[in-house]
Formats: sequence, C-alpha cells, structure tokens
Amino acid sequence: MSASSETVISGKPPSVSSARSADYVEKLALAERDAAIALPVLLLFASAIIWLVGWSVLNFILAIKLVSPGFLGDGSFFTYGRLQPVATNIFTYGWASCAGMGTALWVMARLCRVRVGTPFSVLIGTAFWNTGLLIGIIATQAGAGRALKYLELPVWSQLIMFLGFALIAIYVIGLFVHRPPGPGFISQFYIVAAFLWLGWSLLAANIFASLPWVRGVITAVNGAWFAGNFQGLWFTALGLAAVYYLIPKVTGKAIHSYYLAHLGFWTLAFLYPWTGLHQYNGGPIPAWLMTLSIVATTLTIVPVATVAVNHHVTMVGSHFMMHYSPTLRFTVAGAMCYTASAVTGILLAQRSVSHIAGMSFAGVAQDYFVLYTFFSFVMFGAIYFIMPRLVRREWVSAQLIKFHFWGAAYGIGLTILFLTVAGLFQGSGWNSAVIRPVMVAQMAEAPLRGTILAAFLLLAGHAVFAVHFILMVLRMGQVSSEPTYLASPTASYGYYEEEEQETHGKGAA
Amino acid sequence: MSEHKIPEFLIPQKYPKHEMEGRMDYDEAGNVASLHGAIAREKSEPAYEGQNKRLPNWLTVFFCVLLFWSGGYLFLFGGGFRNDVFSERETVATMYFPRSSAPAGAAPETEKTPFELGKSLFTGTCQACHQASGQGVPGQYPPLVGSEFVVGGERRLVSIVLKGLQGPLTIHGQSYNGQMPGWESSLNDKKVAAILTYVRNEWGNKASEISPEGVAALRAELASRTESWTESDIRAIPEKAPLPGGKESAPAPAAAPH
Amino acid sequence: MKHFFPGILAAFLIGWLGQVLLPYNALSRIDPFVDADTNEIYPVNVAGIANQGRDVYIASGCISCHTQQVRADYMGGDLERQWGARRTVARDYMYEAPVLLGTLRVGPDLASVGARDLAGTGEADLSTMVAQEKLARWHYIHLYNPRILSPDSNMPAYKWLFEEREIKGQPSVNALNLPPAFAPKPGYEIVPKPDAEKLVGYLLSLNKNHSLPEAKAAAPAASPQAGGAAAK
Repeated sequence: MSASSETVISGKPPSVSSARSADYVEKLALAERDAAIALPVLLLFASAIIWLVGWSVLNFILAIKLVSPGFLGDGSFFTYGRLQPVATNIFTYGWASCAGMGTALWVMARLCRVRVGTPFSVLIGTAFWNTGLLIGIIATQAGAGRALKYLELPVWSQLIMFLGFALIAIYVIGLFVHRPPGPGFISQFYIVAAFLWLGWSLLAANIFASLPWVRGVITAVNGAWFAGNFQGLWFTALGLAAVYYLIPKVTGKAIHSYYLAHLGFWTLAFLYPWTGLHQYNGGPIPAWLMTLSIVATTLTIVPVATVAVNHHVTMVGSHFMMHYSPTLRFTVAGAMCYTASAVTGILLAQRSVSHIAGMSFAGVAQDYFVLYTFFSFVMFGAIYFIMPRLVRREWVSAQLIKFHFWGAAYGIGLTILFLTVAGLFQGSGWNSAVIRPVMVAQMAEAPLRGTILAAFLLLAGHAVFAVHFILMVLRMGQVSSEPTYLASPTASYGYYEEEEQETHGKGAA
Repeated sequence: MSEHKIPEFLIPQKYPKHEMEGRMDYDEAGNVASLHGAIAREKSEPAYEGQNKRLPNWLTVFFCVLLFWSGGYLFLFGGGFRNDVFSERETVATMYFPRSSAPAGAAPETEKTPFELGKSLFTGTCQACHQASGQGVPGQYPPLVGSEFVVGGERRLVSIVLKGLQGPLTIHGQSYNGQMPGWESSLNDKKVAAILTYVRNEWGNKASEISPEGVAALRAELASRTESWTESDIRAIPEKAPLPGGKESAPAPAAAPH
Repeated sequence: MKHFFPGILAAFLIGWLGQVLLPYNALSRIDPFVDADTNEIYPVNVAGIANQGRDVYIASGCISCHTQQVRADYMGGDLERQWGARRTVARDYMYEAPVLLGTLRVGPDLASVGARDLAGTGEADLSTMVAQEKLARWHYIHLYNPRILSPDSNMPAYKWLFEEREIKGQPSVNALNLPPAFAPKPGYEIVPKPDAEKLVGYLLSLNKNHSLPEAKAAAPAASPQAGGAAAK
C-alpha cells in the first residue's frame, strides 16, 4: 500500500530506498501538512462546536416551547416563530458548515500534497463567516429575518458570510489546482464541487430573492431550489468526501471501485439540483415542475445505491472495527444513514405519501435525518479522527466518546421517531375535516413531548463532546502512539474473527 | 503553475523542492516522542482507487426499471408541461385516475344568477348617479325606485339604457335634468339584461326579468339611431311595449335571495 | 480530469435553468384574471396597511407554523375543511414577494383566512363593515392570547403587538374586550399597537377564493353540491 511508485510527493525522498523509509517520509509529510493547516481547521472546528452547543440549548428550548408556548415568557425576542429558524440556521450555517469546511480543508490539504504556509485568508474567511452568522442571527431574532427556508438571515449578513466563504473556497480550490498529476481522489472532487455549488447557490438564490421585480411563486421555487442544493449538494457532497477519505484510511483498504465512485459523483451532480421542490407537493406550482422534481428525487437512488455498494463492499470484513474505532463508529453509522435518509427522502417526495406526511413534522424529521444522522455523525467521526493529528494528543477518555455517541444516537433516534409519529398524526388530523385544529395539535402533542427528552439527550451528548474538545485544545489529551480506542482492537478482532471467517473466509488488516 | 502571481495570502503556492530537508519546524521539535508518536499512530495513505468494478447486475437492472418508471411518471403526471396545469391528475392521468365526481378544481362553477351579476355590475356602472339606494339625486338623476320607466314596459327601459336620455325629465312630479349616456358600446347584452333584472327587482320594485336575447334584438333594431332619447321621444314608445320577440310584460319572477 | 470543472458547472447550470430560470420566464408572464361578466380583476395588488402587515407576518415568524396554500381535494383535506373554495394556483400569489407558502402546518392554513368566518358572526357576506369589525376583533383577541379562545392551543401569545395602558377618560374604541380571567388590572385596557393593526389588516385581506379558469371555485357551502358541513 505504500510502494514507492505511489508515494507521490514533490521533491526526492531520502536516498534510503526501502519501502519502510518511503512510508516514513510520507507520514512525515502528512504530519507537516497537518501542522500547517492546523490553526484554521482548529478554528473552524472550535466555532462549529460552539455553534453546536448553542444549537443544542436552543433545540431543547424549542422542544419545550412547542408544547408549552408560554415557556420563557411572551416577549418578542424568544417567540417560537423567530427562534425556530434561528436554531435551524445556527445548526446548518454554524455547526454543520463550519465542521464541513474544517474537514474539507484538512482532507484537501492532505490529499493535494501541497506545502502551505499559514493560510491567513482562511482565518479571515472563518472570522467573516462567524461574524456574519452571529449578527444575522441577532437581527433575525429581533425581527429582520426573511421567510425562505435556510435563507432567513438578512441578505446583508449573508453577504458578509459569503465573503468569508469565498476566501475559504478560493483557498480550497487553490489546493486542488496545485495537486500532483494523476487521476485524483474522489474526495477532492466532492469537496471542490461542493464549494463551487454552494457559492453559486448562495449568490443566485440571494440575488434572486432580492430583486424587487421578481414576484409570485417563483420566489418559493427559488427558495426550495436553494434548500435542496444546501442539503443535497453542499452537505451531502462534503459528508461523502469525508466518508470516502476516512473509511479507507481507518480500515487500511482501498475503496472498492474507482468507477462506481465516479458514477456516484456524476449522477449526484446532475440529479441533486432538482430535488428541492417536493416539499411543496400539492402546492401552487405547475404540475410539470413538481413532477420533474419528484422524478429526479426518485432517481437519486442511483447515486445513493452506487455509493452504498461502494462503501459496503469496502467495509465488508471490517465491521468489527466499529467496535473500537470512534472514527469508524461514527462515520460508518453516518454513511449507513445516508442511504437510509435518502430512501426516506424519496418516500416523502411521492405525492401519495405527501397526502399524509406533507407539511408536517415528518418533513422536519427528514431534515434531521439527513443533516444530523448522516452529516453530523460523519463530522463527529471526522473530528475524532482529525483532532489528534492537529494537537498531537490523543483523546482523553474513551468513556466520554462513548457517552457522546450514545447520547447523540439515542437523542437523534428518538427525535426522528417522535417527530415522524407526530407528523403522521398531524397529517391524518388535518385530512379529517371533523377534527378541529386544536384537536390536531393535541394529537401531535404526546410525541412532541417525547422530543423534549430527545433534545435533552442530544444536549448532554454535545456538552460532553464540547468538554472533551476543550480538553484536547488545551493539550490535555494523552501523549500516546496509539489512538484512543473504545475497546481493545485485538479483542474486538478476536471477538468477530470467527464470524468473519465463517462469512468471508479471511481476516482483515 | 507555480509561477503565477496570485499572492500566497490567497492561494497556496507549490514549493519546488527540498520539501523534507530541514524545513520541519515543529513548535516542539525537541519532543521526539511526540513526533514519533504522531508518525507511529498514523496509518498509511490509501492507494489510489485503481479498481474498476462495475455495478452488480441486479442493481443495473433495477436502475433501468427505475428509468422506465421515471419516463412513465413524467408522461402521466407532467400536466402536459403546461404552466396553467397545477393538479397532476388533470390531463393524461385522468385516464387512470377517473374521477367519481367532477375533477378537483373543476367543481360546479359559481354561476351567478342575473340578479347577482346585475347587482355587482350596478355598483360600478349606475350607482354613481342613481345612488346605491336607487333614489337618485333631486333635480339631477331620477330615482329608480318605483319609477314607471323601470317597472313598466321592457322596450322603453332597454331603449333608455342603450341610447341614453337627455334633456328635462319629469317623474312623480319632480323634474330632473341630468345627461344619461348611452351604454350600448360599453355593456354587452348579458350585462344590460343582468343590470336591468336587478334594478327591476330591488328596493321593492317587482317586474319581469330582462332577457339578453331581447336586448340583442332591440339593439339590432335601433342600430341606426345615433342620438339619445328625449322625454317626448321615450314617452312616444308605447308604455307596455315588449322587447322584439317578447310578449307583454309577464308577472315578476321569484327574486334571487340577496 | 479535464472534464471536471466544465462538468460540475454544466450539471449545476442545467439544474438552475430548469428549476428557476425557465420557470421564472414562464411564471412572470402571468396576468391578472379579468372576469368578462363582472369586470372584476383578480388578484389585486394589496397595498397600504395590508401590505405592511405582510412584513409583520414575516417578522413574527408566522410562516414557521402556518402555510398559505390550499391543496386539491385528492391531495388532502384542505377543501373539506373549507380552508378555501378551491386549490390555490400560481396566479393567486402573483404580486407577493416572497410568497409565504410555508412548509409546516402546526396551525391551520391561512391562504383564505380573510374569507373564513372564524368569529362565528353568522353573516353571509363577510365583506360588510359589521362582519369585518367582528372578524378583526376576533383576530386581535386571538393574537393577544390564543388560549382565551382555544384553551388547548399551543400557538404563542403575541402580547408585544399590544399595549397595556391606563384608561384616560373614555376607554379606547379599539380596546380588547377580554374575559375577566385575562383582563388587565382595573383602570387599564389592552389596545392593539400599529403592528397588530397591520397584521390583522393583512390577515383579513387574504382571500384566494375567486374562480379562475385554471382552478374553478366550488359552489358556496350553502349549496347542496358542496357536501356536508365541515369544521374549520
């Protein structure tokens, strides 16, 4: 795996020609790149985790407010209608985007093998992004928000964020442009494409929404198009890029098929821009436009299944590693949920399902499924992988990681379950004309109370994660030559060895 | 590509050579254990994905089936790709989703009765002068309430509306001198009939409906006349004269609820 | 991979063209419908206080829980609930920017809330001054505290849109008529602030029931053709 023909770094390796030395030199180069990119990635991760904790608190408050509207008073600043989009924006633009950009930056720096100085532009870009988000949040909370999903922040704050984003994007694309000659890694393609697509989407959607002569349902179509791109082209691409890097890296195997990876990428590129509209099933949009969107969403099973096959076959024989590797546990769980969330997304896009699940909490559950169970879990895995390489300490305690995992897993699992149930109650309630509106709200109330517990679990898991992260940043992690594992690797291997030998007939590295 | 002038601030520059020699400047270069730890715990980078395995056959078949489904769905529910079709079941799909009752959106139309139509048209057309109460303005616009011209013969009434009325007019002993314009160029037959049906059955008036066909026939008959009526002209028309093709005034119909 | 950049940009461009630009081209050519019989124009561009109420609606985040779209009968129970006389189509929203379609129904749909007799006035014609006044008063109380009218409602109270002030001389004509459990202390009254008036003006202006060629309205509820009575 580290034969000298594949150690592509500029400059000559030292004259000792053994494979071991070439491997050593390559790892040294990796360590060097990690050191160079450490500060911006750390900054992005730190902002991401701060936003995550903030979101967890808001999410908990919102879950309570949904069933007890008077919680925290009746003032304008904390009213549900303003707090809810603020929470969504903090999650997507704060936690998820910063974690995604940090991971993307790190993966690109490694894969593109470019020696870099301190990327000041990225630091400034991060500052712009966070500042724009913060003041946009405050303005929205004070009532200056817009009414488009994921575009609620005022346009001037989005402009500030976009300037920061552009700096980071230019840097990432610069890394890509300087990569060594060769076919390239699939992760690089996903990352570069993700940055370009989000940049274009942000610009186009915001400008279109601000043109005073653009009126009518096309504004909603524009907003839905942006929302689809945000989930499907930005987060999905970044998440898949991380999975495509981490799974081979941790398991030590190459990705199963180069061809399938590219098939998955290009079908994603052509299909996902069309997937945003189905949230308006039944709405005042011409039928052909809705039908196109539903067809495209259904066809996304092609990239999803392709990627699933690729990941699954790569992982076959290595599932026992999820027992001890925090990275793999989070990342593979996330990758499996990518497939699952895509399937539920396709189901929800069908008009017959929209009859009962449309415009209900089931749609909110779907958003959580994609953005949290897939994307955020992959990001957790990536952060657990990357941090030791940035601060050169290992994670303090496997217990904390386990607590985080199970808190997040139960938290999001319950959230999605309860919201889906609430949504189905809601949808069937609205469809039954004899049920009064207040009764519909009451039908959904029991599962909504359950989301309060689920939000609390999420908050607990994230608080532990944040504390653990702070310990790492303060360099209080373990000095060790072995990563922090959740269980003993040899024991895990032995435990599954018999099973693996039965099913696959051979062990894995 | 490394000779371009984009500042390093913005884009990483590719350093030409000797990457490895003596340029590693770790902040704790003396911490050999940490450095070795970093290298020891690192796994090798994965190889390029060189394999070219294709899709499993069953998946390829599934995708082809899906494509076929997509084409069919697009044809059935695409609404003919028209921008004014919003319900996907309204065009081709009605073959496969027959409606037991009228299709959604094409439910029995709110067809207004002549009285209701006339009422809404009256507001925009006649009310300015004859007032919403139908009482008119003393000295200027005659009242419609209990007016002999309104509840009397149809021919007189429709003639006034089509051609207009000028000069002094005496009704119930009061004199009025407004200028009523002719409406034949701005109101079609249906509208004239509706307004007059309304006027003849509102405010306590009770008289027969006016039919659009009758209006059309009278309009044709009077086509050659260009000037509006005067009081003597209009009183020259027999009082109970019907519209062409009609009988003498029939009893008042049941008024539409209002 | 020399097809990379052109490829990803082309893929995105095709999506943008097909989803946004071409539909914009088509949907921007919509004209209002002019009824040949009654000379009515629909829709009319709401101006003044109702338009400002739109901004209050957005700023209060009403879109987080309410939609403004009526679906066809086979897509849901919207028409059965008489949330509208017909499904909504693109022309209904032609003057609005942005369109407040909404994606979540915690509360009922509001597309034609101005045509719904929520106050139980019993008036057949809701456009009369008396009916409008009653509806407005109902909306004011509902916004001030929804639990006054629906004890189990989980809609937030919008008390900051109202002002509690001392009664100076005569009580204000606009003062809310609240039951004793929710009334302010003696000598004080609750009066809507301008934002509340704008918001209620906007809500009462919402009416998308006019029949259109692409979506004909059903006969009024009193007619036997529309089927049985339905809850709101």
